[in-house]
Amino acid sequence: MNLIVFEKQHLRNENQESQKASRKLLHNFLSSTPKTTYSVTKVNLWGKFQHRILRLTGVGIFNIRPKQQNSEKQKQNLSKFCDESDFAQGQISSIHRYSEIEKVTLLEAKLVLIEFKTKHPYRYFCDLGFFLSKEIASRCSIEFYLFDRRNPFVFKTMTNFKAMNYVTQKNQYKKRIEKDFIDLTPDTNLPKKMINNENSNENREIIDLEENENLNQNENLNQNENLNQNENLNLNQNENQNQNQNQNENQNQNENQNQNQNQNQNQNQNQNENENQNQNQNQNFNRIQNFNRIQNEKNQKIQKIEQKKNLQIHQYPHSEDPEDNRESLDISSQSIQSDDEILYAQKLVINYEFYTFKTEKESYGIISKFDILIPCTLKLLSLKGIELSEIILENKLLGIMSQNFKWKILNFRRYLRINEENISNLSFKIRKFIQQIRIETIKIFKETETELENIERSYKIIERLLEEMIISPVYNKINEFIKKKNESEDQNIHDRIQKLKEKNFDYFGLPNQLSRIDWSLCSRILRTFNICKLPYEYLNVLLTTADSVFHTINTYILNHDIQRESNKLVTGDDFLPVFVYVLVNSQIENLVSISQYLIDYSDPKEMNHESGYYLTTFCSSIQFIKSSENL
Amino acid sequence: MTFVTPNASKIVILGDSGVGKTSLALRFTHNEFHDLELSTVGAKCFTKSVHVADKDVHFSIWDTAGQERFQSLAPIYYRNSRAAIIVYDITQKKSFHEAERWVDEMKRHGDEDLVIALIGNKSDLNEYREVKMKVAQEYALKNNLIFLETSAKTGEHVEDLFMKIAEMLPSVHAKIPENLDHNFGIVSISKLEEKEKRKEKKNCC
Repeated sequence: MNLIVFEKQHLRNENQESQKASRKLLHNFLSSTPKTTYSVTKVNLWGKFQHRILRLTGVGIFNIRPKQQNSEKQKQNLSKFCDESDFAQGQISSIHRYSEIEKVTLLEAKLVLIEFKTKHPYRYFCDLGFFLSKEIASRCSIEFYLFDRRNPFVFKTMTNFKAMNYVTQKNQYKKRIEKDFIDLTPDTNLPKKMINNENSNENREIIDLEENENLNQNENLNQNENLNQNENLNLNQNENQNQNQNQNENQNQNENQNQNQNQNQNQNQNQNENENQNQNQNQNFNRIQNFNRIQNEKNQKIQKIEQKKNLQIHQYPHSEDPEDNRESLDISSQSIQSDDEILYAQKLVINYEFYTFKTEKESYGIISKFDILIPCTLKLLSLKGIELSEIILENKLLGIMSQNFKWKILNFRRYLRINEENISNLSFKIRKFIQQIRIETIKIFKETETELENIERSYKIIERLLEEMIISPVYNKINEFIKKKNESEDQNIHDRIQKLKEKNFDYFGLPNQLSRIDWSLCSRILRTFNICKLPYEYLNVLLTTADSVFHTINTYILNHDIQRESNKLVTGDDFLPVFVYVLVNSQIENLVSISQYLIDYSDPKEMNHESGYYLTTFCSSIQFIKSSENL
Repeated sequence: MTFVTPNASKIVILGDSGVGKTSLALRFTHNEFHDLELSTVGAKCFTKSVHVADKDVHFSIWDTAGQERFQSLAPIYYRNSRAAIIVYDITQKKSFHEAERWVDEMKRHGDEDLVIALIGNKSDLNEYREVKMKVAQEYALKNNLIFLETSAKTGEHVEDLFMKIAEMLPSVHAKIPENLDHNFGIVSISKLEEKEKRKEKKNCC
C-alpha cells in the first residue's frame, strides 16, 4: 500500500510539428519555474545512505553533493543548463530530466521513491517528503501533459494530481522494496559498514554522460529561450512608449529578429509584405507579453522567498558521523524546518495547479474562448428576459461586456463602494451571478464538446476562473467584513483551542493505537490555510490534509503491525476525532470566519461531493470545539 | 435541453460506532471488504452510480462518526441528504436501541421525503445474534422503513439495499436546477418566493 503521486501513461504518436510547438512552450514555461532545493538522504539500490541536495529546476532534478565542487571543465560543460547559483550548493553529480521519471511514490510520510526509465530506482528520505514528491510530480505532469494532445483542452493535470490513488501492491518487486523499507525504520540497527563505505562509493560516481548527450541534442530549445528573452526586452520598452504601440512593436520585433539567427529572417520578410499578418501577430504578441509579465512578477516574489530558503539550508549542519545520519533518518523525530519554508512549499503545490492551467490556456486558446464566453452568456441571459442581479444592472452591462479585464474588476469595486452598507447581501448576489453564468456557459460548451468528462472538467475550470475573476478582487473587503462579524466567536474558539491543546488524545476520542502517531505533518498542511485566498484553494488544502491523515494512519499501521480491535479499516469513526485533533494543533486563527466564508462562497455544486464532505467535517469539528465541555 | 452533470444524491450513514458503516459503503462502492488486511481506500465520501428504471442514479455516500460525543454534530452531516441508512449490529442489542434513537431523530428533523432504511449488519455472524429479525422487521413496518439484514463481509443484500433506495428516491433529476441554490443548507429567499408565486398562478388558472 503506497501513495503513488505520479505515474506515466502511454503516449500516442504525434505530429512532429505539434511536438516542436509544445516543446517550445514547455521549455519556456519550465525555465520560468522557480528553483527549489531540498536536503535529502539518498538511499540507493544497495541500501547506502548519502546526504544529498536535490535541486529542482527547469532543466531537471540536480543531484548535488554538498561540500564538494565541480571542476572547471565540468562547469563549462554544464554551463548551458546551470547558473552560478546552482554550483554554489556543491558538486552537481547528475541531472535527471523530468521525461526520464516514470513514477513517483510516497512510501512513507518522509520517504519518496523515484523510478527512472533507464536507471534503477532511488529512495530519498526528506523531512519535506510530501512536498518534494508533490513538486516533482507537478513538474513531471507539466512536461508530460503538455505533450499529450489527445484532447483539445488538456485538463488532466487539474484532476490527476489532486487525485492520489492508494494502490495495493501485488508486484513482488514492490513488496521487496517495502520489506527493505521496514528494515530502515529507526527501530532496527543499521549496519555500520555500509555507512563507512559511503565515501569510497561517492568517488565512483561520475557525471552521467548519457544525460549530457541528451541535453546537447536539445540545443534548439536554448535558441528558443533566446527568443523569449528578446520578447521580455520588448515588454519593458513598450511600457515606456504606450502611445505608438503598434509601430514600436514592429520596430522592436524587427530589430530583435535581425539579431536572431537565420531561421527568423524569412518571417521578417513575410511581415514586411503583409500588414494584416502583422496585426494578427501583434495580438498574439500582446498575449504572450501579458503572460510573461504575470510570470515575471510571480517569479520575483518567489525568488525572494527562495533566497531566504537557500540561506536556511546552508545553516543546517550535516555531520559526517554515522550516528548523526541515523538520527536524521528517525521518522518520529521532530522536524527542523521552519514554518515559512513549509508554507512556501505548500504554496508551490497550490500554485502549480494554476500554473499548469495558465499554460494550457495559452497554448490551446482557452483564454480567447473564455473572453468571448462571458459577453455571450450575458447576451443570452438578457435575451431570455432573465433578471440579472443588481451588479450587472447597475453597471449597465457596459463594463462587464467590454473585454478588458481591468474594467470588470473596477466595476465590481465600484459596486462594492456603493453597497458597502448592504454588504451582507453581497454573498447571495455574487452566488446568484456565478450560477447564472455557469448554467449558460455549460450550454455553450456543450455545443463544442462531446464528452461528458470534458464538460465536467471545463466546468471546474470555469468555476475557478470565476472565483479568480469575481471573488479575488473583492476578497479583502469580504474578508474584513466576515472577520468583523465573527470577531467575538473567533476569539471564543481561539481561547478554547488554547485550553484544548493541553488535553490528552483520549479527550478527542482517538483510539489508543493511533495516539502515538506524529500528526504534525497533517497540522502543518492544514496550516497553509493562512495563505489561501479563494474558496477552491481552501478546499484543496482540506483534501490534501485528509489524504495525509489517511496516509499517515495507514503507513503507521503497516509499519508497526498493530492489531486493531475491530478491523484495519480507517473508518469514519476514526477520521473525525483525528481531524479535530489536527485542527486544534494547526494554530489557525479566525476559524469561524473561514468556515463562514467557505460556506458562502464556495461552489455549491461541489457540496454534495468529496470536497463538500471535508468542508462539513471542518465545520463540524469547529462545532465540536465550540461545544466541548470540561475545559 | 438542460445540462445534467452527475449531481449526486446524498446518502448519509448513521449508527453506533463499530457496526460496520464504512465497511458497508466500501462493499457497495468498491466491492471490497477488509477484515485483516489494510484498507487502501482513503476517501470517506464514496460515490457510485446505479442504473434503475432507465435512469442513472448517482450516490454520494457520507460516512459519519458514531461515537456518543459526536452525535450532536450529526445534523450538519445529514442536512440536505436524500436518504439515511441507519445501521445496527445484529450481535449487539445496544446498537439496535441506538438505531431506534436515530430513526426518531430523522423522523423529527429530516426532510419530508427522506428515505430511511434500517439495516441489521453482520448477518454472517448468525450464531451470536442478539437482535431477533422479527423484532426489527415489525419495528420497520410500524415506522415505514426499508428493512434488510446485510453482511458487508459476504456482500449479502448490500446491492439490494442501494437498488431499493434508488427506486424509492423521488425523481432525482427533476430537482437539480432548484437544488443548486441551497445545497449547503443556505435557504435562499428567492426560491421560497418563487414557490409562492407558482402557487398563486395555479390558483388563478
